[in-house]
Amino acid sequence: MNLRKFTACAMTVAMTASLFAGVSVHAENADPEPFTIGFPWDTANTDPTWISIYNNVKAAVEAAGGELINVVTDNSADGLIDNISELISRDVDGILFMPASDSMLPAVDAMCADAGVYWGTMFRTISDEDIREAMYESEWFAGGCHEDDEVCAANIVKSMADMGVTDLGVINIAKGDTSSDLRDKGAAEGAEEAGVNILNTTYDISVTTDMTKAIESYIAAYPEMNGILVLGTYCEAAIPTIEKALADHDKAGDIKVGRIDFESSLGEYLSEGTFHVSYGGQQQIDPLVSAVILVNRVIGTPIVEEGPANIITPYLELTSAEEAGEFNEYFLGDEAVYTAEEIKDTMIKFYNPDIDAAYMDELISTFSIADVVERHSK
Amino acid sequence: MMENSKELSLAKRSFTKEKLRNNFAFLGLLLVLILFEIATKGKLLGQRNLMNIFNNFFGIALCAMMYSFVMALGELDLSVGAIVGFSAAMAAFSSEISIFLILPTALFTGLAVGFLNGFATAYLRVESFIGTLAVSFIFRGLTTYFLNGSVGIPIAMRIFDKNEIKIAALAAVLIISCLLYESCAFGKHCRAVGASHEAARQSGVNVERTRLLAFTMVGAVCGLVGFFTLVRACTASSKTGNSFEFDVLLAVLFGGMPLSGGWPVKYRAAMIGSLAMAVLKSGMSLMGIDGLTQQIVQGVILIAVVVISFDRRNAGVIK
Repeated sequence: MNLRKFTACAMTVAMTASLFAGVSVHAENADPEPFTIGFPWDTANTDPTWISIYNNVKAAVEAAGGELINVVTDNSADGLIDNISELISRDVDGILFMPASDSMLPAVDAMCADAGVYWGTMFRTISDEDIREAMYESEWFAGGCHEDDEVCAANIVKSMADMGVTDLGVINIAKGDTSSDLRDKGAAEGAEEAGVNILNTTYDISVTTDMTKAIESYIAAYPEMNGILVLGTYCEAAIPTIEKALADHDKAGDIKVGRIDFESSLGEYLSEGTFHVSYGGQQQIDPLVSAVILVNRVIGTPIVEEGPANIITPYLELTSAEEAGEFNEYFLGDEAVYTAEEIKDTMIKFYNPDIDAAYMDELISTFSIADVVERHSK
Repeated sequence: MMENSKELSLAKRSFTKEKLRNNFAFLGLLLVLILFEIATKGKLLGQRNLMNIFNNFFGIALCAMMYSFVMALGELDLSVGAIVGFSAAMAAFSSEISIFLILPTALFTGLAVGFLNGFATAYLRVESFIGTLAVSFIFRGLTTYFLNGSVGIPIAMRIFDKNEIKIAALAAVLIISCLLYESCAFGKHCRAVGASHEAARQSGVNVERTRLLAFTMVGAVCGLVGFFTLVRACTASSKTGNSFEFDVLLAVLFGGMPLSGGWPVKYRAAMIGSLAMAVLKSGMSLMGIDGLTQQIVQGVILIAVVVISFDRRNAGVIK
């Protein structure tokens, strides 16, 4: 009888212990430890694209239970260095930013290595070989996501050539910016291949008045110009400004207009036939995946075990008003291009151990406007 | 008897108003500090954040101290951001020859551009507002042209981004500029020219030389800011020093420096204003206030400060 009692007690204790052990293990593994990601971003910019970039990064961080801490930046190299210093002092676990140049990265890495903070980049690759090599050896560089700027620029020039463009006026971001330089290079290659003459390139336009002046100068100086290509710009409402300048000079529709990076007004001009082609669509997926790479590293489940993860997003093509409307609704709304649940299930390795570089590449390759519409219209 | 007491009361009220105006910047700084310290639950003056405030303060204060001389003249220098950018660019190029050339190149470049500003204002009689704006365009353009993107310097140069070095540099500029402003004839000459250049000329002040020297000094200190900006980011780009002119102008105005120049321009305004700006920026950032709201807050505060501290008695004086 005593033995029975003893056995029953021992079994009860063992079962209770195993039950608690199970609960304890489950509690440990349910969610990652709370963490914070610092994000220098210009939240004074009211352009829907810029707002959507912030929303997508926030969604990726919050999907894994993290908190996003924003500091306002002017996106210059010295401004970003100050931002990073501030975020480090606020004890963030990781920092995601859009580098202004390759040459600022060693300073960022030195600061983050001193503080033991992971960092990641978005939208930009590292073109300088020496710097890339040094950064890829750093244990604090989580990696980043970028588009193939060179190929994208070459292809959009060829696409415009197919539309009959022979003489092209170009607008681009400031020289020295990695994307700007690569897009310049790609556009030159595309132009050479397609026999397009690049008349002039104006850099670093950030306000609409300067954009108007640049277009009016092009119209006055180059009567032969039959195409305008915006390779990149931080100017808000760039396309409406260009269209207005062209309409004022009775050139709307006669001069073909194209741009890299989608914006919210494209549908209207595509339906009017005064805007012709846009390559882009990465402004949402690129920061989201960049944040995912950093978050996975910060919570201890890196996508790539050795070294930084580098993911290239494919660019999308926008040629109809219908697609532009869907883009506005599903890419520029309050919701990210992947919901928190989708990010958790398909991009956070803590919840899905199958995730690795190949898995991510495959997932990103299926990303398109139609894909987002299908997932989010239900 | 009644008349006398009325006059006494009026004089007392006027004295109190004057005192308030004089100490407005101090009160403003105190208010900003207390407000943000409470709102950020003590994070603002935490040890870690003090370094951020110092970093924000450093460049602006360095320039604002010398900017006091230009403000005392009743002039403006809208090229300081461009000088910082150009000095940093030239210094970055010089590092390709030798890293020992970085500091002298930055200082000399700043000094040369400052001299150009002074020459245009003093001898070519170009309004400082227009002249320095034109110089700003020229040197922004040259910076973009020469850099053709961005130029990096060896990462080892970050050794100069140490707080000890920055504090020493700040102290040196503070001592030199304070002595010049408060105790030397040059400071008094600047204020005299700002109050009335004709009266100053009649009193034997070399107005042109005073103007030339003030702008040159601002240029030189911008070169120093350019050097510290360069060693911090280890890169010079076409955006280096962007909108720095507005940060400095906001700081001196925030400190209560009147745009009208002359004797009411107090040296301490440069330090208080720079500190207030740094605290304001850091406080708003810590509170997670978005960029758009930050711009609005800065604009509202600036208008309030100018309305309260502007010395209307000097506004109508023909200089």
